[in-house]
Amino acid sequence: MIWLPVLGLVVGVAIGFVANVTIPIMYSSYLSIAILAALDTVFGGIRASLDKTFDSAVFLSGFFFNTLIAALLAYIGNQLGVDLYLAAVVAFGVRLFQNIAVIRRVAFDRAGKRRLKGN
Amino acid sequence: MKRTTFMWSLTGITTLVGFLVTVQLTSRPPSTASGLSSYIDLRTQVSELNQEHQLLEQQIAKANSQVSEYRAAAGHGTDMMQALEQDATTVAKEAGLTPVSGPGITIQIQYDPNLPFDEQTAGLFDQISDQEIGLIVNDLFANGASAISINGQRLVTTSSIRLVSGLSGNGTLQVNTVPVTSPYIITAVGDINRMQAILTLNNTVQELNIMQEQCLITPHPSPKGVTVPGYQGPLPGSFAKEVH
Repeated sequence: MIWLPVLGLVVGVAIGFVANVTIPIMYSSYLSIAILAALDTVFGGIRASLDKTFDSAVFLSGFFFNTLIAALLAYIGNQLGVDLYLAAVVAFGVRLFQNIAVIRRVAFDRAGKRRLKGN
Repeated sequence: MKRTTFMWSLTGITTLVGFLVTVQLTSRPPSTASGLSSYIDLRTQVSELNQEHQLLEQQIAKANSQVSEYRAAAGHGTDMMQALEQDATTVAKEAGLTPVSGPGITIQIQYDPNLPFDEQTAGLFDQISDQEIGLIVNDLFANGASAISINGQRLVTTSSIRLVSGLSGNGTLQVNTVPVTSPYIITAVGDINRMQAILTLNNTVQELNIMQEQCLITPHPSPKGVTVPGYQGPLPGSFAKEVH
């Protein structure tokens, strides 16, 4: 089952190439922040799954909500002349690294347990 | 069950992320080696370019409005200039400031000793040349002449024909205050027949001949038969200014 998300990623990339959708350069920054939020949500979901606390409703709503809020924050900051997107970048970046670190630790723990079982 | 839900949710989300990343990558222009080192650089540069774009658009708008104003002014100015130039040409022509040519006559008056000598009238012309020539040009103007010159001096409304006597007693004829000497050549553009008729009617030739002055009237019927030069002297307003 682990191949499903990878397959989904490949399919999404393929759809993106086939659809050949482009956005204006002025909206590119908003999409960047949105992608960062989406990645944060993905890794947050993986971590939650490893911690046995995964909730699909929270996961899905978090994905869309965070994505939209991040883009909206960047837009408002651009309108106000304040680099509010930096706040989103820092917040999502920190969380992203934390989640990845947790995932890594859990993965190592599980690998260690398997090794012990095998011995 | 929970794991399955997680997997499908994650699959959907990763699909969306893949799509978004692809869109973002395909939408961004290829960066140059010396170009954008970070997202902040890109943002800053886009912001600066946007500001520059707005400034350039404002400049273009200003330039366009100026061009429109200049075009409008030029259009009106050209029409006005044409009308004014046409008026000026007409006025100058009427005032005698421009040379004119056309069918006309020339009258040459000069002393001829071969003419019969009359004791009472011989040499009288030198004493009344201004009156005689004045009568002739008045008759011509009254009978079809549109432009007249005497020895190249154009007659206009302010022209004068004067016989000015010096200390020696010899008179000098002045036209437009310019001295002219015999032979006197009167050039007139206008209706040849009418001008010749009035000269015949007034016995101009005979009257001058009595004073031993030859009067040779030559018609020039061609379209550019004679040319009368424009008035070159000072205009009435050249020196005298109106008192306010």
